[in-house]
Amino acid sequence: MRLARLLSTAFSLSLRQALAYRINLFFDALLAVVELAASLATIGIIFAQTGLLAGWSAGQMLTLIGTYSLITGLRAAFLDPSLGDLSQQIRDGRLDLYLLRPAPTVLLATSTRHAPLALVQSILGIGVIILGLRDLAIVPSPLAVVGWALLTLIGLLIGWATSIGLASLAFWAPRLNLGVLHGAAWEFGRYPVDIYGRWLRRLLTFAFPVAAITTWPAQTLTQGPDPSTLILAVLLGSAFTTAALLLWRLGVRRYTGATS
Amino acid sequence: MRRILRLVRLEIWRQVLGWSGAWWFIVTLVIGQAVAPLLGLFVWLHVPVAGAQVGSYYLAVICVALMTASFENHTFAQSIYSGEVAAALLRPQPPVIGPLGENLAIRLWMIVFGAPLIILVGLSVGVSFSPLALLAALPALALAAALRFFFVWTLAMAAFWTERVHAVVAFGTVLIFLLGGSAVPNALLPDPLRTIAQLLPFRSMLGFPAELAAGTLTVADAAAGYAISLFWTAALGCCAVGAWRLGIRRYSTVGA
Amino acid sequence: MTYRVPVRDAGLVAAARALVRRNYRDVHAVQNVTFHIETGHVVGFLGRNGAGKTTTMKILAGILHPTSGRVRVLGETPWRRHNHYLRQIALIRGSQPIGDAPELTVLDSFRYQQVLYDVAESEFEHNLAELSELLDLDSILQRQVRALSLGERMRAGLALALVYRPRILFLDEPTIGLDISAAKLVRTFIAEYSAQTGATVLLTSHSMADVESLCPRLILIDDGAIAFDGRRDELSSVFSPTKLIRVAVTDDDPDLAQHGDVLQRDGNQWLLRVDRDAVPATTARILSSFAVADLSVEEPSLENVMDQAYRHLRSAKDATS
Repeated sequence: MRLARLLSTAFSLSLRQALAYRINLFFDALLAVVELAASLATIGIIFAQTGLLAGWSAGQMLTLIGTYSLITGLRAAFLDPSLGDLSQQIRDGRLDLYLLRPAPTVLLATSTRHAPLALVQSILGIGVIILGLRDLAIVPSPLAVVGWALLTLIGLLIGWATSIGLASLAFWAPRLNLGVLHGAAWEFGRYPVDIYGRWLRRLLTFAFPVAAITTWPAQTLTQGPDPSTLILAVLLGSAFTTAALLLWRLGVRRYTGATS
Repeated sequence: MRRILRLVRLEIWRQVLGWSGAWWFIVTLVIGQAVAPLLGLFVWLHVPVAGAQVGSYYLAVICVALMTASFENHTFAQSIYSGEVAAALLRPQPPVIGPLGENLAIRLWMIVFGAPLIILVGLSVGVSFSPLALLAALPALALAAALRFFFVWTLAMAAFWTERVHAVVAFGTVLIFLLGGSAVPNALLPDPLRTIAQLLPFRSMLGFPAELAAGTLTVADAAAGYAISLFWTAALGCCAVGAWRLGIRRYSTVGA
Repeated sequence: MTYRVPVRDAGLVAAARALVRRNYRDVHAVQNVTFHIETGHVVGFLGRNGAGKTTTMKILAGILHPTSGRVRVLGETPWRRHNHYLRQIALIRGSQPIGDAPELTVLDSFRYQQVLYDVAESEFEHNLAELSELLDLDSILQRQVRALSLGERMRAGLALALVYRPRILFLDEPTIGLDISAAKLVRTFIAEYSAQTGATVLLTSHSMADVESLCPRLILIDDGAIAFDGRRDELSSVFSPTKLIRVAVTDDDPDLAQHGDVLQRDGNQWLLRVDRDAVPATTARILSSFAVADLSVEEPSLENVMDQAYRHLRSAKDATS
């Protein structure tokens, strides 16, 4: 499909640019390693003091942190560079450029610039997942892996949808920049939702579904797929994506009717 | 000396006004600073070994984090990249006053806008503070504020040499997170690491004032902590001066 | 095209009141604008700042949708932004000729355009080579967009927009900020491109040089409405029914002011503005009254005509409001 080719072209161009600066490559890779090491060290220390954290064992936590790293890396590589700028683009009218290109504006606005080096985080994440599975001494069934992959993709989709939804608010309130809010809420995905209080847990399952983003995939991988979780995830993913695209459409309609 | 104080007050006032328009941005900064300690709180509430004071400890950490937050990689480093630092060099005042004034102004606004969050967390988690402990923590808080400023400001001077100042400061942030008492309260660190973390400046920047406020330290530990804080404040202050001199020399020969 | 904008009196009380109850004012950015442009024409849109030129152009391109009226470009409704419409148009802004991805090299940007606009490889190579030569791009193809000067960016921006051979070009102030030779290059290129490919060009500009060299037809927009739509040389007869008489006299202290508006005086060189009909009589009078060393009759420059047009329109507006 042409859109797939467009995205892969944008990605390979960004990759070429990124590889041109070796020092930046080194810095970014090192930072990814250090940040992940800090997370792992924290988990190590926690589990030195206790056997279970809200019902989760060390190995299960590793799969969770690995999944978190994987998804965060994908998000940082493909979505963040364009999304971070989105409110600013809406404010200073650069969106006009994307409006007049023969491709869906929302795709152009959210994924033309890529940061391929962030994928280091994802690769390390997969390594951590394998470590976790080894610690648990389980080999997940093919169904579990498929369930995990599906939930991970839905998690990424929800991340994309919530980012767009928040960025769309710039169509109505140009000075508002909610990207940091999104980043902060995303951090709650580092731990299983079970450690949060009841109302916060509900918030993090339905209002901003970090549960869907990390807890459910990790659970599926280590405990096997659960049909109700999968269904709920698909429903949430569809709902959020539809709502975000609707909000975006409304915003563009307003933008194309009332700018100066 | 009186002139310097007046200049500092003037700069703080100027920056407070300048940042008053960015109230929404300040809120996002508050949230950014509060997330990590908040997560730490949630995690350690589930670990019995952490003790009953863990709630008070982490609330104190959030307060300290807001009051010592430093964003020189955004403010100061940006002025290097944009060339504004040249204008600051030509002003008849010590070059630290600009970044210091801005830092203090931002912190002031962060306390103002962070108060609701602090109250919310305080009400949700069981906290208890003794006035004496809070009093004992105040000087440590002042030292922490100075320390973190010196630390981040020095790191931000990497902007004289590299474009990747955000990555450099991110390293520093990770160190504060891991060893400073945000990820894990110092007392719960495993043995060799605990002593190392106590000797490093990071705990003095964040966890030490919080531990004092939560009342979890013995007098001997508190005294040792103070000695370490004082040492590092002087040391990092010297580092800042040194890095500035090196950086400016490079800037004036190479340019931005 | 009508916007609602919030209005508010000055003062603190009014500001407080505005928090509770907002007053709005309708701004008619573009109203009663009707025109028709045939294929292959090059048309200039002129008008003062805020007159509605850019709004009109944005509506034609498809960025804005009008609050009322009908717009058809290439048989399509622009603001529906269908892909096959977008593939046939290009909008280039002089202030920002290359919109995004400053870290890419120019050549990389071309490759991206190729994928985006689905240009066949052979056609792409051919267009690229041709545009490279016409716009002298060889030296900048390998450079990053952010390292280019404005002139280089404009040339690259033009080439990037034309590599897929759009049928309509919307140019918003294409020579703004360019030095004289760069501006000339751009103008020559646009004229040649339109002549060779039959592309329709709509151009807004404040530069009279642009208008004079490129646009046989002008549409003058003032205050959201069309004030003039016709050939460039007709513009002067509508708004400036005058001519210029340049005369050099050798008398001491001559007073030519009674014979016409004195636009310029430099020693004994005078530049007078005189009504067209009065030109023969005035020249005769001057020749008989003074010792004339040199005399010529000129058409007023486009700049003068535009200046007069704007003043005429403004006083007409003041008279009716």
